[in-house]
Parts: sequence; structure tokens; C-alpha cells
Amino acid sequence: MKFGSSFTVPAASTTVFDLFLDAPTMRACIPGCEELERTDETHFRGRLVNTIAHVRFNAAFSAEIVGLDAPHEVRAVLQGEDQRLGSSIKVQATLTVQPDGDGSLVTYAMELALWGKLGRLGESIVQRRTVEVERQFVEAFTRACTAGPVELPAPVSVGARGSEGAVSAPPSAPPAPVRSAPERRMSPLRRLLAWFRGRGAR
Amino acid sequence: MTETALREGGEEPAVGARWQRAAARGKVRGTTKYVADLPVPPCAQVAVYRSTRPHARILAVDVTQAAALPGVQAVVTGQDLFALLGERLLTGPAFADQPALAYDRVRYVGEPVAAVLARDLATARAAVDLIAVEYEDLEPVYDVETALKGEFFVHDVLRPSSVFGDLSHLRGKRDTNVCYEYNLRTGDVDAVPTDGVTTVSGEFWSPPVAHVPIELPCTTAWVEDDRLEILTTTQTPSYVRQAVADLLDLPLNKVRVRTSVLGGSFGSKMYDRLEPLAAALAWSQQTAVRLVATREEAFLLTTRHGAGVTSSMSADADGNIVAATADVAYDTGAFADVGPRITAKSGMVAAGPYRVENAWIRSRCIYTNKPSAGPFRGFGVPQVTWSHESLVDELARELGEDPAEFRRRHLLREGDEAPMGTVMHSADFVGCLDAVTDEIGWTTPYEKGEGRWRRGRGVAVGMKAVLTPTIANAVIQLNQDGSATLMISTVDMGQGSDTIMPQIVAEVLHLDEGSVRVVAADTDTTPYDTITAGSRSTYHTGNAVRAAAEKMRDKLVDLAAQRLGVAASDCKVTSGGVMSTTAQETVSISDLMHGHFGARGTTLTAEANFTTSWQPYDHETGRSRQVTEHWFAGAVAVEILVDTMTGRVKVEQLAVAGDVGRAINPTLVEQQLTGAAIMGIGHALFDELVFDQGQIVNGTLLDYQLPSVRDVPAKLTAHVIESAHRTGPFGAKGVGETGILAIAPAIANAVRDAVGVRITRLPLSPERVLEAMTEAGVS
Repeated sequence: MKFGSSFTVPAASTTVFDLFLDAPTMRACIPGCEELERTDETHFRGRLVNTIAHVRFNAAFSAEIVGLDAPHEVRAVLQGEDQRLGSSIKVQATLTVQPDGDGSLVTYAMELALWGKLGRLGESIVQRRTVEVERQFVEAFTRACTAGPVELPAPVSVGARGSEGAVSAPPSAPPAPVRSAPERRMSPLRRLLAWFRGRGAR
Repeated sequence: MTETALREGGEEPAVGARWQRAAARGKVRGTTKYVADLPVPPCAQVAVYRSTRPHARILAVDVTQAAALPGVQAVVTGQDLFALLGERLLTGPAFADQPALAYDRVRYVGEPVAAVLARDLATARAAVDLIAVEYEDLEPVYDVETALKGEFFVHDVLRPSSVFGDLSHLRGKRDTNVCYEYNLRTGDVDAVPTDGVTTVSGEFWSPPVAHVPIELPCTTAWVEDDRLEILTTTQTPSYVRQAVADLLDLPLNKVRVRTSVLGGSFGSKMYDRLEPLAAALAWSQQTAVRLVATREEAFLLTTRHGAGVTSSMSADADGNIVAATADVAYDTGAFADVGPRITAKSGMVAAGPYRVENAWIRSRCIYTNKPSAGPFRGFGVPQVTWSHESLVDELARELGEDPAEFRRRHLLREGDEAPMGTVMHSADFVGCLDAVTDEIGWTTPYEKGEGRWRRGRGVAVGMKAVLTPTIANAVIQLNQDGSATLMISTVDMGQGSDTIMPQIVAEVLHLDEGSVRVVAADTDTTPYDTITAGSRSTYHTGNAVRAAAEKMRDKLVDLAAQRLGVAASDCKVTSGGVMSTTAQETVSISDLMHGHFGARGTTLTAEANFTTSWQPYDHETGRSRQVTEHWFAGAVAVEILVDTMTGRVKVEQLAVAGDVGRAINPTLVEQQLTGAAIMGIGHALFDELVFDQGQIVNGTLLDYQLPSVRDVPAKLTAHVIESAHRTGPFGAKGVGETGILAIAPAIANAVRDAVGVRITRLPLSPERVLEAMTEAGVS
């Protein structure tokens, strides 16, 4: 599966690039990233917990930077395995950062391989989830660009029951706007019955 | 529809009659016992740990936690079995390349690596989740293009099995992903003059598809009295017995393989599926084990080969087909299975059923890191038919000729030599083509439409060789009451062998419908039969059954002659028994046997063998004077509608015809043609296994689309063409695959007719049709 997109963030490209290589910031921004540490100049390791289509995966992973052209481009390979789920994941990612007015344009391309039970979910489901994860990442990363490097937050449980989109809350996350409860919609049959009752009442 | 003449004395013959399908009532009422329903000893339930990598070296398998789970009886790894069995663990019909459990490398996502035996399935599955495997990734080969570059190899070395002796020259070959190559060289395509020649060409693709029979594969194996008993869903009990005996180094009489009627198969339940693993586990653990594939696992067991064909066809100024070329690449996945046979048998007909003087064909079987592809209804021929029937249609259009008439002019006739060097007999292509074009009114004008829906017609012809050489045996036990028991190892999986074989016996012995029963295949009691596949059983097993019945008839005649004191030549079997024309007396079978043996309930036995031979094709030219025992000829014509807004194709009418030599049971022949046509509609319009980096992403019935009743054309007619085969039982041949060969190109040719676009990749999904129309500027 190939994914790619771009977004702009309100920070200089050097700042953005440094944040991408900063493990605590990335841990806070990547949805479901419960652990992330940099073991040497080019290697990271961590744990990713997330839910796709009600399938919860919990995968230890390692990541290697296989190409670096600071502050423009970084290429990395991530591999992880959820033994209990009988699934493994491999991501080959390329990320570029370009100046864009006062901010930076971030472009990424990913080749994602999901093998095993998770892979059976199919591209359409994975793609839908990926779009959601990207949106959450961009929101969190934008906040991080504004606020600077992130201090290590306390782990937050991920993939709470019935909440597929739940992710680690970034430390500076503002409270989500509270929507008013939607008006309960009446079924077509009830509307028809109400209409007849109305006619009868007239 | 065929009509059957009455026999002497007004008796209705059995051959040609529309006898009711055996076990039809049981299947409708749900009382038929399939393999999983039959009684077996208490068993350990088996769950399988499967690879999560497409290509990797196995560094370690940690089963400590799994083995400690309460209820787990044993955890067996590939390395355990390899330590016990060595390279005998590698099985397969063409190449010994398939381990029951991977022990050194995994070669596709989903390959079995370890098995858990537990008191119940839930425990076994829970234990599988506790198995940890450490891998070292190897470079994966996801497609044939990458495989042919020869940079990375799925197998280090080719290992031909002992089953197909003609592959032995490939033993030890290294550094290749091409496990087999067939070449056909007829005439010289390079020497064809180019002046006035019209050539069409294309790159065609048929994706891998899944068999999806309703019944899931199930194998139970146990040790009893120091021998191994296996009850399994298989089309090939004789093969399985030999394979398991080789695997465990046991004499054949220590392995018993039984099966029952199958709930569909289409090629998915043959050769090495669950049986080697079940046998190895039962024997190594000395316990009873039961493996039932889940639907998701069944998608991993075998598939139809995805195939690419780069091909061309040329005609001279007079419209004669002067040359055909085809470069065929079959993606066989991680294991060869029967891919080399498919590669050759389909490669030899890749020029089509036409008089072509110059042909160049290369057909290759190629390993990749995907689940293994194997036999599927049509045995690779639908993939090459997709190519040659699209090309010949386009060539006719280029020449301004009617596509049906153009074919009719060039189709092979009785006595013609086909491009691979074998002379045609009992393959009435023209009769099939005439039947389907007449049915849809090919020559009558029709409204194509100018609005959203456009109408089109298409036609295509298919050609396939029967599996040759093969061996069939039959044993008939005639009971003293005049009923008979037939022992054959042909497996009825819906094709109707349990109905037509009794008809053959009844025809010879003048028995009534329902008086002959077929014993389910059991290697302890039913005789050797090569395989139930490739539409071979009617001809091969049918001939063995006929010969056994004729031997039985001769025995009855001899008994009657002795009893009546007349010459055997004076006696003949009739519906009332054995009649002497001289004595004007008829003795019933019951009286005859009672008189001979002096007891009730006695039996008389006759047996026969039928073996075909062939002349192996020349390795350089691919030609043979007798490459097959007989041919299947079929044709399809369709009328379709294309929705120009969505690209959706709707098949309104479909006519399918097959030359069956002689229909033993016309109803079953029509059902075979019809069933194959509906399956073919799926392959044409939406059936497709989708892979992403070696992972099947639509391997569930939620995601995998199959034809439903809503996809069946409003009018679907099956036409039985009877061009009797000189050595067929009563002139009969098989029919299981004939109907599927030409469906996809007939529909694509109709799309071409309707909206003017030639699509070369299957399936013809709405997206693909719409995209082709957009590219061609069709509004």
C-alpha cells in the first residue's frame, strides 16, 4: 500500500526537521506511539498501539534512518511485529521539508506492508484509518511546532473500548470543542405515521 | 438437447438418459455425509502458526509459552518434522519443494511454520498466539517481472519429484525462478513475408483467482493397528496415499486414504493440501489429529495461476492466419505444485484452435513469494484463451470481417493437424460455434443503443487437451439379487460421476436406474485411479467401467450358456436377464447366480484397467504426434449491455456449447456447461485475488466477490454437441472445463462491439471499463 500527502506547519524548516528527529516529540505526536527512544544516531525503537476496524494491534518496532539530507529529506524503514495478532508491519518512508512562506511544507511518501491477519483487512480500511491518523498527527505536530520540543508525557492508554480514533493526547492539546447533542432523527416510518396522525388531528 | 433411441425390445437405454443425480435428495435435505460429518476417533484439534513474512530465514521458533498452555498436547515445528523426516518432508506433484511446515525459510505470508495439537480448537488457537518466531528477512519476489530479473530466488535449487518423470532433467538447476519452460516451434514466424500482412498484438493479463468451494478442506488422520488412516477432502486419494507413504517411509498397505462426496472443489482439493501435515503430525505424535481449514486459510491453500501473455496474430492479404506468437508467464507462487503441467498443456494451445502454419510460443512457470497456485478448472487454458480469442477477434475487425465467420473459416476440422503436431479428432469447433451463434441470432440485426446503455455481441472458441497419460481401474461386484456395486476411486464433487458411471454399467448389463451404487473412494477397497481432474474421468474411468461391465457381461453369458447348454455366442444380456435365442429362454441374473453358487447374497466380480499413452513433446519444438488422448472443444456467444455512466457490464444472454463426444447424461452435461459459464462470468467481470506485497488483502468472503444469482444472464442456454470419440465409452468425453474456457474473451469481445474499446486485463470491472472508455474518448 502506498500512501502520500503533504501539509504545512507554522515553523522554519530547520525547526521542523529537528522535531522530526526528536524522539519525545514524535512519541507525543504519532497516534498510538506508547514508547519511542533513540538508541543511536540512526536507530529508534518503540511500541505502537492502535486500532484498525476494531482490531487492536500492539507492535514493538524498530526504525532505521537509511538516508538523511538535513534539513531537507529523511528516509527511514520501520519494522514491527504483533506476535499475538500474527501480523507484522513494514514501512518505508520518505519525508521532505521545504520552506513555504513563514512555515514549511512537509511531504511524505510511505510504502506500507501489512502481513498476516492485519493485512487481510484490505487497503480501503487501512487507507481510511491512515487518513485519520494523518489528521491527528498533523494537528499534534502543528502544536508541537508552535510550542517547541515536547517533554515526555505520561503514557495514555490507547484504543480505548469502542473508541477506534483514540490516541495519546499531546501535552498541549486544547480541549476538544463540545458538540451539542444532535437532535434525535425520526425514522421515515415514524415520520409517515406522524404525518398521518397530523392529518387525523386536523 | 440430445435424444436417445430406444434399444431392441423397446427398452430405454441407460446411456443418454437423464437419470437423476445420485445423492440429489440427500444434498437438498442436508442428510448427505461429507468428510467432516463422518465419524472419527477422538482427535486432537490442530491450529497452525503461519508466517507473517513473505520471504525470510527462520532463525528461531519459541514454543515455550504455547506448550505450557493448559490443554495443549503438543507443539510441533517444521524443524521438529525435518529432524524426523529429513528431505522427505518436501512433497509436491512436479517438484518436491513444499514442506508440510516450513523449517528453514518461509516463502509466502501465511505459510505454516508450527502446529499446535490441543484438546479443543480454541485452546489450539490461543496457543498459536503464544508462538514467537524470529526471522531474518530475505528479499521478496512479488511478481513474475521481478522473478525473471534473476536477482533473488525463491528456491535455491530445483527438485523434480518422482511423480512426473519427464522433469528429471531439471534436477539440481540453480539460480532461477523459472521452474519449467515449454516451447512450441511450428514453421518459422520470422520467415513470414510482411507484405500485405495484418498483425494485431497485445499484452494480456488474467489475475489469480480463488476456487472457493462451499465445503472447507478437512483432514483427519490417526494411527490404528500400526497403520495410518486418513479421512480427507481430496480429489486424489491414490496420489495422497503414495505421497504420505513416501513422506513417512511406509509401505502402501500401511496407509489408508478415504474420502466422501465433496462439496465442490474445482481443483482446490488435490495433490498436497492438508494431508502431509496431518499425516506427519498423527504419525510423529502417534495420536489422532483433525485439521479443518478456516475460510481465510482456504484462500491460502491454493489459487489459480495469474498469467501474463504477450502475443500477436497475423493474417495475409487473403485473410489467412499465417502466424501466431505467445509469450506466457504463469505465476506459480512459492511452490510449483502442478504448474509445470499447466504451463505445457496450456502453452501448446496458446495459438488457438486455428489452422496456423507458423507458431512461436514460450510458456514459463515462475516462482514468486505468494501462496502456491495449482490446478483450477481449465488447467491454465482460460488464461491463454483470453489472449488468442481477443486477438483473433481484433484481427477479424482489422480485416473488416465478421468475427464469427472469420473464426469459422479458420477453425481446425477433423483430421487437421493442430500447431503442436497432433491430429484433431472428435473436436467439433464449428458445430459449437454454429450452435451458440444460432442461439443468440448472431446474423440478425440488433439495436446497439445510443443512450446510457450500449448493446454488444461477442463470441469466442476454446480448446483444451485432456490429461494424458493417466490410469483408471474399475471393479464391479454384481450381487445375486441383480444389483451392482461399483468400486472406483473417482470422487464425485458435483460433476456427477456417481451418476454416469452407473449408467455405463447399466447400459452394458441392462440394469435399471438406481440398481448400481458407487462406493466412496477408499484406497483399501477401491482401485488405483490417477486423479479426478482435468475432465478426464468420463473418458478414462468410464472406459475402465465399461470394460469391467463387459467382462461381467461375458461372465454372465458363460454362466447362462453352461446352465442352458447352449453356445455362449447364442446368449445375450437383456433387461430380463440372459437370453438364449436358440432355447428361447431367459434366465434372470438372480436365478443365474443362485443356481451357480447355490446360495443367496453371493457376488460375482469383474475388474478392468484403462490406461492411455502419449508421445511426450519434443523439448526443442514442443511438438508431438499424440500429445493427448482427446480434445475438448467449446464455444460461447453473449449479448451484453454496457452502462456508459458506470462502466458496468451486464450479460443479458449467454449461449455455451461443448463437444462431449456423446452425452452419457445430457442433464448433467448441461449443468456442467452452465455451472462453468457462471463461474466464468465471475472471472470475466469481478473475480480477482488482490495482493499487496505478497499479502492477500481480499481473502475473506466479505471481500472476495463471487457470482451470485443476480449475475446469471436472463437467458443462459447450454448446447450439447456430440461428435463421438472413436475410443470414448459409447463415444463420450468429459465436459467439466469446456464451458469456462471462452467466457471471458466472449464478454470482452462484446464490450469491444458495444463501446469500441479493447480491454486486455481481467477482470472487466466497472472501473476498468470506464477507464478504457475515457482513454478512448468514448462518451
